[in-house]
Amino acid sequence: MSVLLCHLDVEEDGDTLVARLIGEIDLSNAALIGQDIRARVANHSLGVVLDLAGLTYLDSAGLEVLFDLRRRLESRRQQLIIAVPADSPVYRTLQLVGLIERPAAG
Amino acid sequence: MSSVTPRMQSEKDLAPPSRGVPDFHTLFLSAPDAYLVLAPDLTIVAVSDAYLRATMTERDAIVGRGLFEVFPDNPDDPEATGTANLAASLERALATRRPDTMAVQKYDIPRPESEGGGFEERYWSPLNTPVLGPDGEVELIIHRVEDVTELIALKQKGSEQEDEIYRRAQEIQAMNEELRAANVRLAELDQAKTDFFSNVSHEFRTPLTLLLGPIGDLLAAPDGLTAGQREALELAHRNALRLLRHVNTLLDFTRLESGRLAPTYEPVDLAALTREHVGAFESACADAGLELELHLLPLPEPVYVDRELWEKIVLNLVSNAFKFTLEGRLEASLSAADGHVELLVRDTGVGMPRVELERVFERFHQVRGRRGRTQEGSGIGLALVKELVELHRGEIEIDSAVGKGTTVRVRIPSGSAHLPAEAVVRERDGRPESISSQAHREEALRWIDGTEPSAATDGIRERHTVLVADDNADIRRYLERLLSPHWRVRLAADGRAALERARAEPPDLVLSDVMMPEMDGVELLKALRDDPVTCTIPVVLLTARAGETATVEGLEAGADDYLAKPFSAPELIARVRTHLELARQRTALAREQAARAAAERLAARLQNLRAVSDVAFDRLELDALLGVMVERVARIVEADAAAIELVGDDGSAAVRAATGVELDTAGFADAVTAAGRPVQLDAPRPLATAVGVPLVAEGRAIGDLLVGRVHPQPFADEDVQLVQMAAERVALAVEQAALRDTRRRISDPIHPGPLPELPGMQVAACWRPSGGRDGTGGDFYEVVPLADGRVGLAIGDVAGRGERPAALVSQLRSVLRAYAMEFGSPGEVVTRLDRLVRSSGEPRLVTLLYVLIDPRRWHVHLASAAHVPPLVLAPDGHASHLELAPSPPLGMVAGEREETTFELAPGSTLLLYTDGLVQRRGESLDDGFERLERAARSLPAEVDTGGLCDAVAAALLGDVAEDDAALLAAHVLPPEERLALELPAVPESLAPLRRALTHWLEAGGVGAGDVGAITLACGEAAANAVEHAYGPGDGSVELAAERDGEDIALAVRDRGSWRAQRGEDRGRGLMLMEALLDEVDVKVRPEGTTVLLRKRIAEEAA
Repeated sequence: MSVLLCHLDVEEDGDTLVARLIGEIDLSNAALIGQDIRARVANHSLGVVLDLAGLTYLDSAGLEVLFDLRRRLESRRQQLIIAVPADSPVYRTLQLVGLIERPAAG
Repeated sequence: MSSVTPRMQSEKDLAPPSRGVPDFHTLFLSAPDAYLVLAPDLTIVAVSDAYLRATMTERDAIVGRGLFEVFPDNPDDPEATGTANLAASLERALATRRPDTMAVQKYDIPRPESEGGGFEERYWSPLNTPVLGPDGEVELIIHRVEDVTELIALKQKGSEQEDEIYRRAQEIQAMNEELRAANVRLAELDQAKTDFFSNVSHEFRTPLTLLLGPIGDLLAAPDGLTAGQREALELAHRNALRLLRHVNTLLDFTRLESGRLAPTYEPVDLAALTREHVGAFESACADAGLELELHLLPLPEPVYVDRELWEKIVLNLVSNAFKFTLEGRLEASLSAADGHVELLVRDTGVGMPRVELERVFERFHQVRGRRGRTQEGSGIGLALVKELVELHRGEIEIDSAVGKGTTVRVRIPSGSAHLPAEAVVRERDGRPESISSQAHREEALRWIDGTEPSAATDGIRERHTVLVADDNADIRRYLERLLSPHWRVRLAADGRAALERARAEPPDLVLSDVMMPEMDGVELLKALRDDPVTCTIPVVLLTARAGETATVEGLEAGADDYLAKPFSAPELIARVRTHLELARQRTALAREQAARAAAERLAARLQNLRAVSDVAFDRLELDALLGVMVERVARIVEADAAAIELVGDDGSAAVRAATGVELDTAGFADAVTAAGRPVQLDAPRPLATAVGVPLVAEGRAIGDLLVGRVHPQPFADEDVQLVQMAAERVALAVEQAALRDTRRRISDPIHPGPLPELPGMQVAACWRPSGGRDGTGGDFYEVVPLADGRVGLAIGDVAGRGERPAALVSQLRSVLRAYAMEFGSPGEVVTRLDRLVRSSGEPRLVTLLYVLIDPRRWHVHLASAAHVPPLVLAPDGHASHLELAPSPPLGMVAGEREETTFELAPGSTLLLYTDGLVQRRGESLDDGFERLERAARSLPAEVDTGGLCDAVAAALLGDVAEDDAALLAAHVLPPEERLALELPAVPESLAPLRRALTHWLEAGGVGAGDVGAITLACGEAAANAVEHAYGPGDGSVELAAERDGEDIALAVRDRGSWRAQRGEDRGRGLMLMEALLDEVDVKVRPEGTTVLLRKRIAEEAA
C-alpha cells in the first residue's frame, strides 16, 4: 500500500529538479519518499522544486522529511522551493510549521 | 468468498529439471552474492564464499565468533561508524522482523597479517533480512552485502575533478578578464593614436596612402611590368615608406612643439635598454660586413630617462652611423663619470667636413655630397636627437673627419634632481617591446642592396610559430624582420606553398597577403578552414587597401583580422600577439570544456547506474518493476522503444512490459537468447537501430530486454552496458517473483488476499472455477480504493487457460491498480490498458469493465471493453442491467475509450461479473441476463454482498460450471451516526483509518476544511500510537468519532505504554493537533493512552 499511496514524478529542468508528489504521505511511506527524492537530486542541481499540488495528505512524518530534505539541500548549497496552491489540503499544514510563509502565487 | 489467483511462473522455472532436490548447502556457499548468516545474538553461523572473498577472511576463522569481534571498527579512522550503524540495523531487523536496508556504509575491514595487516578502506551496501521460525520469532538474520568501494571511489574522483575544473575555470575567467582589459587598453591607445594622427598628419598621410596603394597594387600584380618598371616602382615604394617614417619623426617634433610630448623619466638600466636598440642592428651590420663593437656594461646605478625618447636618440644615432659607413666598424659605448652618463656612437664612415658640423643639428639640414649607403635622408634626425637630449637636460657633441668617421657623444646628468619632479616616476613596468627599433633596423637592412637577410635567429622570445604568406619578397622579408624577435617565423611565397607548410606543420598563426598568384589569401583561408587540422589556426590577412572586396570576402570566409597596408609595426605586432593569445585561450577553454564534459558524463553515468540499480526496486511487484525498468532504460539510453520479453514454459516469448514505439518483437527473443550476449537486431520499422540483451537467470536465458531508436544513431557501448545492468536487475526480479509465486501457490492456490475494508461500502467477491484440470482460467477482478474516497472496481476475462493467460491477468491487475490511482477516469484507465494489451502482442481476447464508484454521491462512471454490463440491485428489490453501448475488446481500440455515467438510487448494490455466470451453450446471452435478474430479484432484501454473490452463483451455476466465473458486488451503506474502528497498530493502517474517517465526516455533511483538519489531527494521534505504544507488530489502535451538537468529538485509543517521544517531529505532531482542533487532551494511563479531540464544525458546512 505504501508504495501506491504516493507517486513521485521527477523531471529535470536544466539545473533544477522538479519533483511532483501525487497522493498522500504519512508515517507508512514518508521515509521511503524522502529517500527517493534525495536519490534523485544530483550534485550539480541548483535546487529542488517540490510541487505539492497533487498532495492530498501530509502528516508530521512527512513534514519531517521535508525539513530533513531542506536541511540536507542547504548543507549542499542547494535550494528547496515548495510549490503548493493556497487551496491545497496541505497548504495550512505547511503554513503552520513554517515551511511556507507567503500565500502561493496565482 | 473466494477469488482468483494470478499465476506467473511455474515451479519448473526454478528447480533443475529431473535431478531431484538441489544441494542447498552448496548453492548457498557458492551464491554469487556475499551472505553472512547470523544468530539473533549476532554470532556468525554461516558464510558464503563470496563473502569470504570480499572480506578477505577464512571460514574457520570467523564461523562461531561474534560479528563485531571479527569486524571491529578501524581504530585508525576516528569517524568510523560502521559497527554502530550495522548494530542499529541488525537491532531494527530483530525488533521489526522485517528486512532492513542500510545506506551505503564505510566499514573498513581488517587485512590479513599475511598481506600486511592493518585495515583496508571499503564501502558496503548491506541488507539485513530476518528469517522467522514457525513461532514468528527471529531465528536467523541473513546479512547480505555488496562491495561498492569502487563505485564510491569513482564518485569521489568525479567530485574532485569537478573542483579542479571549477578552479581552472576561475583562472581562465581571470585570464580572460585581463586579456579583455588589455584589449580595451590597446583599443584606447589605438583610438588616441588615431585621433592624434588625424589631427596632425592628415595632410601627410592621405597623399602617402594614395601613393602607396597604387604602387603596392602594381607591384603585387604577377606580371605586366618590365624589370625596369618594376625597379622604378620598387624605388618609389621604398621612398614612400621612408616618407612615412619621416612623417612619424615629424610628428614627434609636432608633439614636442605643441608641448604634447610630455616625457616621463624613470630609473632604467640604461646599458640594457641601449643594448636592446643597438642590438637591432647586429644582423644588418653582419650582412653589410661591418663590425659592431659594443661597450655596454651595466652602469653603477639606474639612470633617469624617458624610455621612448632614449630609444629615438639611440636609433637615430646608430642608423646615421650605419648609413654613412661603408666599411670598417660601428662602436657604441656607455660610461658614467662625475655625475653624468655618456653615450658614445662612433663610426669609421665617410665623415663630414668641419664646416658642416655647426649646422648638422639644424632641422632639414643635410650634408651635401656625402657618399653614403643612400642619398635618402630628411636631415631631420640629428636635430631631433638634440631636442630629445635637451629634454633630458643633457648635451650632444659631434666630431667628424672626412674619410675617417664620426663620433657623437651624448651626456645626460645622473640622478633625477635636475628633472621636473612631476615628470619623474620611481618605477614602471618594463615595456615589452621596442616600437621603432624594427622600423629603423628594417630601413637599415634595405640599404644593403641585394643582400638576402639571414635566417631570423635572434630574439625568439616565444615559441609560437607565425607562417607568413606573401608573394612579395620585400614584404616577406620585412614581415620576417618585424616578427622574428617575437616569434618563430616561416615564409611562403604564395597561398599554395603556405597551405602545404601549414598542413605539414601547423603554425600558431597565419599572416597572409590577400593578393597572391597560384592561390590567393582568401582561397588559402578557406582551405585552412576546411581542414580539421588547421581550422582553428588564427588567420590575419594583409590587404593593400582597406575596403577591398577581397577583404570583405576574407572576413566573411572567417579571417580573424585584417590589416590594411601601410600598417604600423607596433600595430601588426599587437594584433598578432592578441590573436595568438586569443587562440591560446580558445584552446585552453576547449580543453577545459572537454574535461568538464567528461566529468559530466561520469556524473551522468553514476546517476544512470543508480537509476537501474535502485534498492527501492526490491519493494516493487514484478510487473510494476518491469514497467519502471523499461521506462528508465528507455529514458537513460534515449531509446524510442524498449520492451522486456519473458520466455514462457512453452518456450515462446511474450512482451511483459513495453514503452515508446510499438515493437514487432517476433523472432528477437530467439536471436538474443541464442547469442547469449548483447546483439544488434534487424530493426523493424520505424526503428532504425535496435539492440537486444538477454535476461539470464541461473545461467539460463529467460527472456530479453530490447531497446531501439528511430534515428539511426547506434547505441554506444556505455548504453549497452547500462541495458545489461538493467537486464541483470530484471532477471533477478523475475527469479524472486517466481519464488514468491511458488510460495504463494503452495500456501494458498486460489485466494489473492482479502478485499480491502472500505468506509461506507461493503464489497464481496466470488470466484467459481469450472473444475477442469487444465489450469486456471483468465477471470479476474480488482478493488482499488482511491485517495479521494472513491473506489475503482474492475472485472475482466482473458480468454484461454494455463500459464500464459494467467501471466497476462497478473500483469493487467497490477498495471490496472497503478492506472486507477494515477488517472482516476475510467475512460483513461481503459485506454491505457488498450495500449498495454496491444503492446504485449498476446493475440487473446480480453474483456474488461472498469467502474468508478463514489459512495457519497450515488453515482458511477464506467468504461467497458466488450464486457458484460453490470447488474444494479435497487433498494426496492428491483434488478436490471445497465445499458452500455457496444465496445470492442481490450487492445482493439487505438483511440480514446468512451466513458458513461449512471445515477444510482441510494442504497443500491452493483454486481459485476464475467460471462461465465450467464453464458450457456445454445442460449442467447439475453436469456442469461434475464435469468440473473430473476435470481437477484428473488433474494431477501436484507442480504449482504457476500450473500448476494454466493446466492447468485449457486442459482446460476449449480455445482459444476461450464466456464470459470467471477463476481464482484458492491453495496453503498447509508451514513452512520457514530464511527468506531479498530485497526492493527501498523503504519499501513493509517490510510484506511483516514478514508473511513473522511467518509464518515463527509457523509455527515462536514465541510472540506474541517474534514482535512480532523483527519490530520486523528492521523497524528494514530501515528503516535503506531510508533510509540507497542513493540513491533503488536496491538491495535481504536478510533471513535461522534457528533456532539455542533462539535465532532473523537477519541484515539491504544492499549500500550508510550515510550519517550523522540525528536522535533513528534512535538510537531502535537503542535499540529493543537493548532488544527479546538481541544486536544492526551490521557496517559498504565493501561493505555487516549487522545481526546474536539472540533466545532463551521456553519456553512455543506
